[in-house]
Amino acid sequence: MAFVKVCARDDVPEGEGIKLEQGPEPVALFNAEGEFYAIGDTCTHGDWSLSEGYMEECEVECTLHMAKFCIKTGRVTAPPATAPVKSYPVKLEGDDIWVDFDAGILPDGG
Amino acid sequence: MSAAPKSVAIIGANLAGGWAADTLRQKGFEGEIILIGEEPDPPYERPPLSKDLLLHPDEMPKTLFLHDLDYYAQQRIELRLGVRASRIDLRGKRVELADGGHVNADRIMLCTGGAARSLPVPGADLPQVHCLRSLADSRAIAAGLAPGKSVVVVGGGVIGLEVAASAARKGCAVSVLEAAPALMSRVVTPEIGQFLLQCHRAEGVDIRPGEGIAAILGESGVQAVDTGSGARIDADIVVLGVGIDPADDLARQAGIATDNGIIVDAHCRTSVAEVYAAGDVANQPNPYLGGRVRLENVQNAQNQGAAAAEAILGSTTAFEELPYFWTDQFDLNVQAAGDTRHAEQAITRGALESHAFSVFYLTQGKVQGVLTVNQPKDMAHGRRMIMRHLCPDPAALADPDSDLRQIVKAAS
Repeated sequence: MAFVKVCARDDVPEGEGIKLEQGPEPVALFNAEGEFYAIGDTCTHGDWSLSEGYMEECEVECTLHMAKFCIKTGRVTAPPATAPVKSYPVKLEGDDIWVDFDAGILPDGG
Repeated sequence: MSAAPKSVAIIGANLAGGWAADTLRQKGFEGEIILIGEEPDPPYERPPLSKDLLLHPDEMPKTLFLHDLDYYAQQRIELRLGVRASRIDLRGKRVELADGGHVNADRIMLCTGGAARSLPVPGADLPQVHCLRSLADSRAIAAGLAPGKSVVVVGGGVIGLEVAASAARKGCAVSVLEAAPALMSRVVTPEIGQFLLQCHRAEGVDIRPGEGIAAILGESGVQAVDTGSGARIDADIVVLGVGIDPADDLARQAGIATDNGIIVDAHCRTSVAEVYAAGDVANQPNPYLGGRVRLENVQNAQNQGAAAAEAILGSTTAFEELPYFWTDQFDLNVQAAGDTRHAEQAITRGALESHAFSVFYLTQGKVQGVLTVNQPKDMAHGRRMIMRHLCPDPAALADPDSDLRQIVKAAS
C-alpha cells in the first residue's frame, strides 16, 4: 500500500489520458479540468487501452467498441461492457502526481 | 393505454434479444421474461466468429457470451434454448414452439435476426460449402482452415473479407470472388474499396472483383469453383458471404407488416399493438440516412434491443441510431459511421499508404459520414460531428496535425 510518483501534472494534457505501467496492471490516468483520476486501463469488453479513449466530462469512451466508464468510480456507463474497472487513489504533491497501484477498488454493486 | 405488462416473450436469444431481456430487468420490470432461441447457446456476440474464433478456435474470447447461464437464473430470465418459435397467436397472446410447447405473454418482441443467404448454383449443397452466421458455422469453417488449404470466399463484403483475412493468416491460399466491381460497395466508396483490395492483395489474397460463381465442382466433396468466366479455382472449402435475408416469416404469417424485415416505428413498435421488433430484422426510419433502414450491425442490435425494452416499459424517447460498424482485416481496424458513400466532398486526413487515416464526408459543408482506418479516436470525434450536425473547416480537418477536439469545439 504505497503511493508511487508517476508523472508531472503537465504530462497529462487537459481532457486526455495517459497509460501508467508502474503497477501490476496498467492504469489510465485522466485530466478532467485539472482534476486527476486513475482507473484500470483495460476495457473489460475488448482488451483495449482506455487511456486511448475519448474523454468527455467524467466519462471515457473506449474507442474500439464505444463502451463508456466513469473515470471517478470505474463504473460502466454505456454498453457493450458490462463489468466495471477499478479506480485508484490519486494524490497531488506540488507538480507531481502520485498513484497507489495497490489500492484499486471496484465500485459497489459492480 | 393498455395495462402494464406482466410478461414479455422475446423471440431470438441473440444480442438484440439478450440486451432487451437484460434491459427490462435492469429498468425495474418485475414480471416474467422468457427468451426463446433456436440456437443451443445463450446470447453471444457475432463479431468474433469471423475473426478471433477462426484464428484461435480453442480460445473462447472472454466476452463472447453476453452473460453466463447463472446470470439469467439470477435475473429470473427464463431461457428456452434450442427450440424454434413456430407461430405467433396474436389474439391469444401466445407464442407456439416447434417442440409442441407454448409461451403466453402480454408483450411479444421479435428479434428473429436474419438467415445467411445461400446461392442457387450447382454444388452449393456440398459439405465443405459454408455460410457464416452462427457459432456452429464458425466452428465448422475453422475446422477446415489449415496451412496449404485452398479457400474460396464468395462475396467481398465485410464478412467475406474478414474470413479471407483470417484464412490467409492461417496459411491458406485464399481467393475472393466479388460480383460487383468494388469491395464492400454497400458501405464504402470505390476509393476505400480499392484501398482494401490493395491491402488484401499485398497479404497474398487473390481478390477478383467483377467475378461471380457459376458452380462449385466436386463429387462427394468440394474440389474447385467455376467462376463462369472460364476460370477454375481449386478449393478445399468454400465460404459464402453474400449477405442475409431478414427472418420475418413468423411476423408475416401472423399478419404483422413486413417489407425487407419487420416494419417498426421510432419506438420499435410493429403494425400490431403490443408487438415489438429489434435487431437485424427490424426495418426502422433512420434520421441519419433519411429513410427506412435495416441495420445489420452489433451496435444496432444491442442499442435497438435495449430501446425496444424501454419502449415496452413506457419510454417515449425515439430511437435514433447513428449507423456505425467496424471491421478488422489483417492489421486494419476500419470503422465507419453515418453515410460514407453519397457525400459531395471527401476530406482525407493522413495518407492511405500509412494505413492510418480518416475520411470525413461532407455535404453542403456538414459532416454526414466518417470512416477511419487505424484511427479509432478520430471516430469518437467524427461521430460527434455527425450527431451535432457540425460544419467544420475542411482545411483544418485535412491537416493531420490539427486537434480534432478543438475543431469540434470551434464548429459547435
